[in-house]
Amino acid sequence: MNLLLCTAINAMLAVSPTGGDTASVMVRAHEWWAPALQLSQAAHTSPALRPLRHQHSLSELNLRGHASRTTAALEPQTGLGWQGIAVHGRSHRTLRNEATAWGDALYQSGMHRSVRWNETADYQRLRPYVAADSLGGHLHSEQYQFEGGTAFGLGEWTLGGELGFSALQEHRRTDPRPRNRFGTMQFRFGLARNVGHRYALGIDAAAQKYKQRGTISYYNERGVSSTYHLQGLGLSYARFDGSNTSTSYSGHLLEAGLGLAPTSANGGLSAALRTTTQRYEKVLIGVNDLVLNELRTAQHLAEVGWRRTDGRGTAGVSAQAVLSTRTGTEVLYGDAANNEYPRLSSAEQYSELALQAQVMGLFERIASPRWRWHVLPGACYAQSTEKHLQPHNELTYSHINAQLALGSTWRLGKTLLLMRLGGAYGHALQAEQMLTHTVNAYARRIETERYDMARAHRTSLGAQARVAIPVGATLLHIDIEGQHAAYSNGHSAWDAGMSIGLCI
Amino acid sequence: MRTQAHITIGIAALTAALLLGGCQKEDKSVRYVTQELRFDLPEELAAATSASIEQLTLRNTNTAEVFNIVQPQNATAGQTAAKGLHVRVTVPEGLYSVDMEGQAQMEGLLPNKIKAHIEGVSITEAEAALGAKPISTFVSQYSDDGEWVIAEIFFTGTQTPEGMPYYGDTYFRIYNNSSRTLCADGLGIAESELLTVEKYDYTPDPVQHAFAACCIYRIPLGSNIMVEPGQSLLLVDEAIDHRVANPLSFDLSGADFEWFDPNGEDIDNPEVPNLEQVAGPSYGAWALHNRGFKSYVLCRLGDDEAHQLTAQQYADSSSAYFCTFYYNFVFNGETYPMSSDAWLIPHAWVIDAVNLSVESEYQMLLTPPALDMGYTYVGKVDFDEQRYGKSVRRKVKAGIVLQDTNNSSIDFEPEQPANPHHRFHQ
Repeated sequence: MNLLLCTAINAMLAVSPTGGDTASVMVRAHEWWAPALQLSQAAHTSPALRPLRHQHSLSELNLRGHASRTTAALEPQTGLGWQGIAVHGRSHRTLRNEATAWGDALYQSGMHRSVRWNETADYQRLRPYVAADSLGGHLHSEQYQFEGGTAFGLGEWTLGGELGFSALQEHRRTDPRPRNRFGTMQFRFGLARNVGHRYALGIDAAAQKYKQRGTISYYNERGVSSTYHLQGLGLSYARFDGSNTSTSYSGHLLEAGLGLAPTSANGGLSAALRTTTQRYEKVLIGVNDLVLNELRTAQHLAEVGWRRTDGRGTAGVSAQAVLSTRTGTEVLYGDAANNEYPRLSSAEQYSELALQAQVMGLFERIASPRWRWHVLPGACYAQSTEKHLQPHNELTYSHINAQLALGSTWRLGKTLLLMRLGGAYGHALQAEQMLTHTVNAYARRIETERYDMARAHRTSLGAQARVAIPVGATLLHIDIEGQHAAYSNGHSAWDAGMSIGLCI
Repeated sequence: MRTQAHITIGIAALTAALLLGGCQKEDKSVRYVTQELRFDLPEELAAATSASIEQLTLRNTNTAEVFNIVQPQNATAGQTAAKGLHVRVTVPEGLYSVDMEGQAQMEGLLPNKIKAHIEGVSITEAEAALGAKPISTFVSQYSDDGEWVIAEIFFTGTQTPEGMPYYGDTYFRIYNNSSRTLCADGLGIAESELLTVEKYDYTPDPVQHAFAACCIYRIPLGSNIMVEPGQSLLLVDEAIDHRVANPLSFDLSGADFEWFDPNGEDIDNPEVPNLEQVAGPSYGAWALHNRGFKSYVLCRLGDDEAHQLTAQQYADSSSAYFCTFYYNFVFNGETYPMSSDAWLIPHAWVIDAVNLSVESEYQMLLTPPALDMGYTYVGKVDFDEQRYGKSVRRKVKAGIVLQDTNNSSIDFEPEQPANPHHRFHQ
C-alpha cells in the first residue's frame, strides 16, 4: 500500500504544467494559500467548475505531525485527542486545450486517544449505530485516500469527472481489540456552461459505495466485556448486547449540486445549492447476518458569496446554511427459534435535526509589494436536536460563535513569512437533556458528559506561522500552528501541528 | 440565448428534483399497539369466585424498557375469574416478556397467590387484531415451611496459580429449608440436556411436561440420611483434597457424597459414598457445564418419598422417561436436521429447579415458570475469564430459612466466591 501511495504521489508531481503557467512557484503557492479560498468553497465542488478555483497550477507534498488533547468531549465516541503523522500530496495542473487535471493522495497513521463507548470506525458517518463497550481505550488507525479528476472545455461547456478511493483500518493492542476496516469508492461527474462572460453555472452528481466490517476480540487481559449495539442517547439494542462482536455496515451516498462561480480572477458572485443523501445498514454477522438498523441522512446546503480582488487587495463575504437530518430505524424481530429471527416490523426511533448557519468576511490589503495583511471575521449559529422516541431520550442545544483572525504576509528577500492569530468565542444559548432510560450507568455518564459540554461556553486562541523558502524551482515551507480552548465548565483542549512541505 | 436559458432552467429543475427526492421518506414511526391479554386461571382455581391482578409488568426484549401496567396500589384490573383475567395494554410494537402477580379466591377459602411468566410475546398490530392473547397462570406454591432446595452450585471450576482452568472440584449444596428433619434418601440431582442459550422448535417438545436431563445422580435409596432443618449435604465431583493439585481450590475430601462414573475416567475416593448413577451423560464422566448454560433440578424419581422408582425401574420404563427429539439448525441459510436424546423427569417429581445462563447468550428457561421463572449466573458474557472460582448461592431469607420464591433471578446471589463450607447461618 505504501508503494501504491508513493507511485500516486510521483505520478501527480510528474504532471507537467504544459498549459503555459509561467508564474513563479512563489506566486503560485501564494495564490493557493490566499485566505480568499476560504470563502465560498461549495461553489467549486463540481469537477466542471473546479478549474475556476485556482488560477495557477501547483503540486505539493506535505509531511505533517499533529497532536490534540481535550479533557472532555461533546462526542466522547471520537476520543479525547489524536496524535499522528500524515503524508499528503496534491496537484492541480492546467493542461493544454483548456484541460485541467488534479489529484490528491493521503496516507495517515496515528492514534485516537481514549475512545469511549464506541468500537466502530467512522463514527460520524454511522452514529448512533455503533458497537461499543464500557472499556474503550486508544485506537490506532491507518488511512489511505486517493482522488483524481480531470475537466476539459468544449466551447462554452466544461465536462469534468473525479474518481476517489479511501480505506481505513483501525485496531487496539489491548483488550478489547476491535479490528475495523472500511473502504469507500466514489465517482463524481460534473457539467458546466459559461453564462455570459463572467460566470459559469455547473451541476454535478456523485455516488459513493461504502463498506465496513468490524470484529472485537479479547485476549482476556481484563476479562470479557459486553458488547453493546447502540441506538443513540445512551440506549442499546438490549436483545443483541453481549457477545455479538462482529458487525458489518454497507451503504451508499448520493450527492447532487448546482454551483455558480465567477470565471474571472477578480471574483464576483458565487452560489451553491447542494444535497446529499446517505443510507446504511448495520448487520450482525454472528446472528445469520441479521439487519439490526437502517440509517438515513440528508444534508442540504445553500451558499452565497461575493468577492472582489484588485491590485489593492481582496474583499469578500460569504454566507452558508446547512440543514442536516439523520433518521435511524430499529428493525424489530419476533421470538426466534432455530437461529431464525422473524421480522415483526421496524420503528424509526432515532432522529437528529441540525442547522448550521455561518457568515464569513474577508478584507485583505496589499500594503506594499512586500507586505499584505488580512482580517477574517466570522459568525456562526448552530443548533441540534437529537431524539430517541421510545424510551424518550433527547439532547437539544444551540450555540452562537464569533471569531476573528488577523493575518499578515511579509516578503523578506526571497523568503515568505506568514503569520495568523485568531480567537473565537462560542456562547451556549441553550442546552436541554432528557434521559428517561439508559442501558447502564456508564452510558448515562457518557450522555451527561455530552450535555455538560453542550452547555459550556468556549473561548479559544490560536496562532499559525509559515516560512517559505525557494529551493531551486521548488518552494520549501515549514508550518507550525497551535490552538488552546477553555470551556466554562473547567475543561480545556489544545491542538498543535507542524509540517514541512515542498511545492513545485 | 434562448438555448442557454433552457439549459439553465433544466439544470435548476434537475437539482430541485434531487433536493425534493432526498426529502421523501417512508412512515416508520414508533407504533403503539393496544393488545388484550387474557390470564387463564390454573385448573385448581377454575371455580374461583374472584380474581385480580396486583402487578403486571411488560419488558421490551429489544430495548429492555419495562412497562409497569398495573401497580400494586391500583390492583383491581379484571375481576372475572372463570373467563380469565382480561387486561388491555398499550405499548410500542415489539417482543415482550410478561410477568403478572395476582390472586384468586375460592368461595369460603383464603385467597391464593397466582403468577404468570411468559417470554417471547409478540405485540404487533396484526397480533392485536387476532384478539386476546391467552397466558397461563399458576398457583404460587412456595411457602414458609419449605422443602429441600439447591443452596449453592459451583459449576465454573477454579484456576491454578498459573491461570490454567482446573476441573473436578465442582459441587452442589442441597439444604433442608423446612422446619422439620427430612430424609435425603433418593434425592436426585439432574442436569439439563438442553442449553438455556439455544432455542429450537423441538419435535416432540421434551420440556413441555418434564425436565429433559442428560444426567441424573441420586442419594442411594435406603441410605437413611436424615438432615435437620437448616443443615445441608455437600455433593461433589471428586471428593479429594484439591489443594494438593491446585492451591487455589478446596478440600472436598469431607463431602457427603461424590458422583462417580465407573465407566469413565473418574477419580473415586472410597472414603466418601458415591451417588447412584441413574443416567449418565453420553460423553463420559459427568462434568458440569463450566460456562453456566444448563439448568439443574433436585428431584425424586417418584411422586413422593415413599414411592420412588429404582434406577432399574426408571431405565426399564424408557418409553415413558426417555425421548429422542428432532430440530433444525439453520446457519447461513442452510438447514441441518439434528436430533438429541434426553431422560425425562416429570415436573411433578421436581422439588427445586435452578436455571443458569449468561445474560449475553440467554434464550430460554428450561423449566416451567411454576418451578423456576428466572435464571442466575456467573459471568454476564460468554467465556468470561473472571468466572472461575465463583458460584451461585441462595440468599438467606431469615434465620435458617433460605429464600425460595421459585425465581432464581431473585433467590440467588450470582457470582459469589465459591466456598463449599459456607455457613448460611450461625
